[in-house]
Amino acid sequence: MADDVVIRFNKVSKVYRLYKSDKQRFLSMILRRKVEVRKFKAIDNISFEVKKGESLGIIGRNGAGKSTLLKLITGVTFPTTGSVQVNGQVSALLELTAGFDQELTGRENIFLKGYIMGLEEKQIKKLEQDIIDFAEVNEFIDQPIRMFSSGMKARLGFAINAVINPDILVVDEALSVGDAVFSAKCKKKIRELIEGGVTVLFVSHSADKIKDFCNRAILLVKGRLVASGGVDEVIEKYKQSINMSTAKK
Amino acid sequence: MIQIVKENIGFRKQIFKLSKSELIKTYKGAALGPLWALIKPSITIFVYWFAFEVGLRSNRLVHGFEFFIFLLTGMIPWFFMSSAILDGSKCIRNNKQFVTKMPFPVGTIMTYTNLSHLYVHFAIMIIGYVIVVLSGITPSIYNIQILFYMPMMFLFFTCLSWITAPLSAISKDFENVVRSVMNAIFWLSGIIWDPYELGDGIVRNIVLLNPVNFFANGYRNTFLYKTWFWETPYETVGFLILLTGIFFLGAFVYKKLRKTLPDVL
Repeated sequence: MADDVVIRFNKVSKVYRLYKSDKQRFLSMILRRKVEVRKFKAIDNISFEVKKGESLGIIGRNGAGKSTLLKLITGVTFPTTGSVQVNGQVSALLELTAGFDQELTGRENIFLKGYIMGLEEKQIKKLEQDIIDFAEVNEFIDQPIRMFSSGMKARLGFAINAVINPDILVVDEALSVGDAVFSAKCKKKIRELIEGGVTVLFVSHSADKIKDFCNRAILLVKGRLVASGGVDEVIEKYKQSINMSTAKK
Repeated sequence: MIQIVKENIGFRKQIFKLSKSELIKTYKGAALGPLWALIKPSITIFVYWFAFEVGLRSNRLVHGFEFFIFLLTGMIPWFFMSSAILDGSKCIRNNKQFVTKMPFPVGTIMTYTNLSHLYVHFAIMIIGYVIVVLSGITPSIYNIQILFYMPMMFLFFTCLSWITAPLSAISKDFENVVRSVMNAIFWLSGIIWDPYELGDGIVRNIVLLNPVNFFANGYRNTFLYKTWFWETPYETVGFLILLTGIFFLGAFVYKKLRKTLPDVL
């Protein structure tokens, strides 16, 4: 892979096998005979590249395959055919509170989440105060996080992901964390990261948010990549496709 | 190199931390906290002792030892084995979010889950050892064999969960199978009876190859029988062959199922 390419999708397809029931799935596992199965192509033969420092918007309607694409990038799920190459540490602002344990305190959860992300104790200790400050949960940090409000939990989750300085940051539309003030703070942080040379992937069905952050975009429709290029041009196509489908109805 | 081994080596520092927080998670929130790790097994041992010694009045020596001491030295490894088999098979499903929400070396889940049980086992083993000594059995050089049997037990049941955990994650039926056979494993293994006293040579030879018996007898070799593990070559060699088989089978099953896990959980 050339040095400046950090993400490369090469003819990637992802097929989910939809069984009628769990019983059917179990039978297909042990019997090896053909059990009735419906195949759902979430991602259909997609190829693209992202260069280092780029901020790419991924736009599409619900069910277009955006989440699956992100899961492929973060390495949570694997392609059925084709190959996905990712260079560098990925931090994903997808499920901000995933990995937290309700009984542990905020501080313990910072460490827990850090270990889960593969950090070592020393590295986490260095970031600990930054995370607490950024999340604005000072007085609660030594309480079990079941005492946290959902906004506080999400803020803590965002803070951990944003502060570790990843090479690639994946941002979902779930960014509407906390109130307007905190949301502005998050946006500012993401801008800082972009300026600092972090590659950012921004996923949304909202054209405005994509325009805010990205200089390039790709458009997904039903698992296929239908447009790629400058952000304005792609958003234009996205609006057309929405108009077309609303006109049909 | 084998994928699951690579994952474990790359994540070794985090594994210890995660096993610690796994342990904290288990006992946090209860007022008696970690004491529960001792209360539960104490009750179980008392129940078996009461049923056999007092109820059934089988007031006799087993292998030359009082029944209570014989029972205790078998139950100590059994508590670890039963939680390693049960939690070992459930651990991927219990840690679902690590599979479906974030990139994570899934092959380490089994390691830190079992490791957290090993800490509890170590504490129970120390207390049990004190009771054994107080009952009049003098400490001996054979006691250091625990450094062989304990790591082997951890290794074996971790490798076993490489098989059971992915299968249970994919099929709830398999999880139920494991849960259902637990009682059978307990009563068919020599935890509360002595496999060496079996009359039939063929049955005894088969029974001795049961890994649960290997460890129950191993702990008794260590604390009571004053026997080195190389003095029981049939069992030790049989076990090592089984361990090798489970290791490679486990690595194979994990590799085969790793990529399907996020799609089915």
